[in-house]
Amino acid sequence: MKSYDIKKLSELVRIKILPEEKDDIDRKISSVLDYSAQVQEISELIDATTDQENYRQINVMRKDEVVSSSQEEREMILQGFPESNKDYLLVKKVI
Amino acid sequence: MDLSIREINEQLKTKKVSVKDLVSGYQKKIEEVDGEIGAFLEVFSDIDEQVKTAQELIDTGKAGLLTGIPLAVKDNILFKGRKVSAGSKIIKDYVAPYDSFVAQTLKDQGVVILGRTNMDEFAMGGSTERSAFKVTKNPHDTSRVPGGSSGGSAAAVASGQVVIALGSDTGGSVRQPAAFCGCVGLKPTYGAISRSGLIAMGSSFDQIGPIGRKVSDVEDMFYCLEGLDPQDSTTLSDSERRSARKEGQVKTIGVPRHLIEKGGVDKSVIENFESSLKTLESKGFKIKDIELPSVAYSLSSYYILIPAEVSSNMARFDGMRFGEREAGKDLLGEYMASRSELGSEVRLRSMVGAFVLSSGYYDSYYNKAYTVRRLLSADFERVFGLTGNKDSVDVVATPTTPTPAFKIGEKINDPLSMYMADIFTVSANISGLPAISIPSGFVKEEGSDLPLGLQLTAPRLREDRLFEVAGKFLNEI
Repeated sequence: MKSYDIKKLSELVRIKILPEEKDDIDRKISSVLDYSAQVQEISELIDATTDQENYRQINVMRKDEVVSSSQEEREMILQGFPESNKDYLLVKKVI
Repeated sequence: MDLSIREINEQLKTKKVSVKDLVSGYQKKIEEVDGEIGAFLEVFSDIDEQVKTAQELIDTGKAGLLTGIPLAVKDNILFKGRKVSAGSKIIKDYVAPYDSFVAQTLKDQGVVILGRTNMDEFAMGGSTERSAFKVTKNPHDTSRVPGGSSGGSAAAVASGQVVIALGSDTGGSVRQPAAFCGCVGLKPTYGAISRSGLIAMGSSFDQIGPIGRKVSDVEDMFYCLEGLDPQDSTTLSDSERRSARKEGQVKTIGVPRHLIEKGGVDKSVIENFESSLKTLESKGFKIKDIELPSVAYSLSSYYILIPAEVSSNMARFDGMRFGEREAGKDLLGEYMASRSELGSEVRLRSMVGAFVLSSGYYDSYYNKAYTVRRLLSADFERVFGLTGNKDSVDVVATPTTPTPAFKIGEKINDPLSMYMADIFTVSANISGLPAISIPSGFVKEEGSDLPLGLQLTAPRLREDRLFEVAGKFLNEI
């Protein structure tokens, strides 16, 4: 089994891993990724019948219209938010 | 207690029973059994208004098929003004500020929602043991899991606490618990039922689906909930529905034996499956061997694509927009402190997702898994004859799960063995196809009779074929 850079992954997903949890999470990540690596064998299955053009993707567009919320909904949204000031939602400064 | 929705509807309309009496019978059942089963996270105490609305609809002749029907919903579907926690501590007190599409539809019908049911945290798990709040037990053997992630909904239906319940299915989360609890569970075509107001796990896989005791109940609920919703741009239009659902009875059922005989499937499950095929033959269906070569890679691709979508969908639970914000020494510290309440499976999938999407690994993991997704869809299109193939089948049959319900605690520390329970169910989510699990009998294990399920998969939007075969299999039609 390969070992993974748990510290880097935990920072990427912003989840703190305690030193005593590290071995267990490393074991679990390794077992999942070792199994999933099977997909790397698939090149032998690909042929012309399954090329990109058979795969349909369409864009679904709609008008960007502002729909206002009722006072009741505003209050519920404010209440569900961790921090607010009057009608403003407060978040942490990111820059 | 064993009546179908259609029979209950008849009784309500002919005034043989009132909504109040119907509902109080089920409330009494909840009081009697849910202490032991633990299907509900919250049983609503304030349902008088719902009962009154339903009775008025009946009295004024405006009742629909679902009016007055007592049901339960999984804890990840939003009902305005009600708590919705997705089985997670991180949003344990969150109150929905709006109605999901399905909530609005059910309210318009005048159903009576009795409560919200237990689930694995954010629907990640196959046993409901990953709920942050409690473990739900299998009504057929309380030392065993009910399956998951919609385990609370399946257990509530199986123990007679509600007529029908809603779950959500990302890789088998409706069908696997339905199989473990002896219920009927439907994962609709991707885009059939709106996901607006469903807390997301894997957005390109998730579908809401009903779990009931009868095929006709699941069918009635499905046709009530499907439809175009501007709030979910992946929902399909009525014209797409009409053009997909052409007349014609199901004649041939395909069986991918290479997948079933590959190993890892209990002998008792294979025997049960073979006898199900005989039953299907006795109903006039022709059984035919088929090959789905890329299905061998479906589970490995699922556990790449899903963690990738999870790592993105879970990023929003960072203490800034939902739940509690915990103090930390800097911004990263604050995120980490706020996210410390996320459970171990959510952490695991988020980290695996970050890995498979990271520079240097994206091509060998995510892109390969995405290729499997295309190959699998092409495989199904071929066996269903959509590519002009004459040698086609109308539906595909497999067991729903490789084993019956396992013991509580048996797989909790081994994520991969838990994932293996999804081996037959993930293909329908990867390809977006509709699939149903129906009870196919029991197997005896350590003195308990444990239910097993038969899974049927149909072409896109051909839920009608599933109901036809399932209804005949269970002698409903």
